[in-house]
Amino acid sequence: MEGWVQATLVDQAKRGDAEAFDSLARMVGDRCMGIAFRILRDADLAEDAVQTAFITAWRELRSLRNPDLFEPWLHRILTHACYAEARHRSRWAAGVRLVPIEPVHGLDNTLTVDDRDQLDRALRRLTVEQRAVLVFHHYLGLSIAEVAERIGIPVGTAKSRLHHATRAMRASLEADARTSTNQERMA
Amino acid sequence: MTASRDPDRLIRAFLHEGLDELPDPVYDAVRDRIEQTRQRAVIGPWRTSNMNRYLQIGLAAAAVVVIAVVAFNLLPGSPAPGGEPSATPEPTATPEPSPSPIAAPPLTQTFTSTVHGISVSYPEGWTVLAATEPWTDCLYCSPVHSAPYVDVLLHPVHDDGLFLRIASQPIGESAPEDWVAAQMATDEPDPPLGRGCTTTEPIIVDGATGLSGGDTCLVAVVTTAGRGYHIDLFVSPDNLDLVAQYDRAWFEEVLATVQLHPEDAVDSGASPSP
Repeated sequence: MEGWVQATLVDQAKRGDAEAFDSLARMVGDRCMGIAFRILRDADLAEDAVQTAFITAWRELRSLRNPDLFEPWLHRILTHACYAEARHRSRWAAGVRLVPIEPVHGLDNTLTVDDRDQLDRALRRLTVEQRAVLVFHHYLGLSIAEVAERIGIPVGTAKSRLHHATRAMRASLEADARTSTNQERMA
Repeated sequence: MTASRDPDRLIRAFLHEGLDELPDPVYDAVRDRIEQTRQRAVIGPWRTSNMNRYLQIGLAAAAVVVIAVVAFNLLPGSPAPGGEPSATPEPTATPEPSPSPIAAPPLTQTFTSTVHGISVSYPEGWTVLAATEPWTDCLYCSPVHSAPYVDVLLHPVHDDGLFLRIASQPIGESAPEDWVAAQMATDEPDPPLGRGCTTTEPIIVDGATGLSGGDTCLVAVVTTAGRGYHIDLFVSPDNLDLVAQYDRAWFEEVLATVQLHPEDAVDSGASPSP
C-alpha cells in the first residue's frame, strides 16, 4: 500500500506538485536521516546532506523513469550528498553536535560504553565510501549486490569496501578486548 | 569485554543506535527551496524528426517561394496589387534594428584541474569548485553533480541553472569506444543524472576523439592515452535567456580552449575500479 502511495506521489511530484513532493519527503525522510547520520557521524552534516539530496531529487525527478524505484534512487543521490558534506570536515572539529544514544534492545543489548567508544572511533577512521557500504549493509540490511546497485558501484568494489571496513571495526574491538584482558591481569 | 562476543553482531547493534528522525525544520527548508527550484526538463524524442526528407525539402522550397513573392509585392516601386504604381513614393520609415540577443561573456579565465589533468577557459566572475579526489566510483557511471570528484564551474548568479562540469578517470581495460558509449548511454537504469541525449555525433577535443550529444545536449565525452574525459554544460531549459546565450556554439567555444594533460591527472590507485 505504501509503495502504491509513494509511486502516486512520485508521479504527481514529477508534474511539479510541490505538495506531493513534501508528502513524499516526509514518508522517507527519517530513513534518509538514519542513513546520513550513520555515514557522516554528525547530526548537522546529516541534516544538510538530506536537505541537499531532497532538493537534487526534486530538480532531477523527471529523469526517474520508474516511480517504484524512487527510494533506491534517492538513496543514491543521498550517498553522494554525504560524500560532498564529508568534504567539509573542518566543521567536524569546529562543533560536533553530540547526540544522546539510546541503546537498542532486542538486537544486542550487551554494547558497553567502551564498545561504543571503540566502534565510533573505528567508524570515523574509515573513508566515507567505506562507511556508506557498511551502513547500507548492516543498517538497511541490504545484500552486497543490492548495496552496489544502490550506491552505483560495481559489486567487487562494494565487497572490497565492506571487507576493509568490517576488518577495521573488528580489529578495533579485538584491540579493546586485549587491553581489557591485560588490565584485568595487572589488577 | 570478552573475545567470545560476536563482533559482527556488535557492529550491527552499534549501527542501529543513533538518530532516526529528520527534524521538521529540514522539511520546511526543503519545501521553501523546492518552491523556488524548477525541475529540470528531460529532453525527449521530439528532437528526432520522422519527417520524410523529400517532404522537408519541398516544404522549405515552398516557404522560400512564398517569402520571395511577398517580399517582391512589398518592395517600394513595385506595383501595388490591383493598381498603378504611385508617382511619388511615400517616404518610408527606417526600420528599427531588432534587439540582438546578449552575447555570452568571453572566456578570459583559465582553470587547470589538479585532479583531472585538463585546463579550460571560462568567463570572468564564475565560481570554481575544484575536485578534491579522483573519480574512482565506477567506470560505467556518469559523474554525479556535487560529487567530490567533479570540477564544477558555476555562473556567479545562476549557479543552480548554469554550470560546466568536468570529470575524468582511467578507462582501464575498456575499449575507448565502449567507455564513451557507456558514458553517453541513455539506458542506464534511472541514473540520478542521466545524460538524456537522444542523438550523438563524433567530436574531437584537443586531439582526443569521442562523442558529443546532438543539438541541445551539451555533453562531450572523449578519451586519450587511456583516460576518459567527461565535460558537460548544464543550462536550465527554464531560463530562456540563458538558453539563448549559452548555446551549442558557446559550448564548442569552451571545448576549443580545452587542453588535455592526462599525464598530470591524479588517480588513487594503479588501476581503476572494474
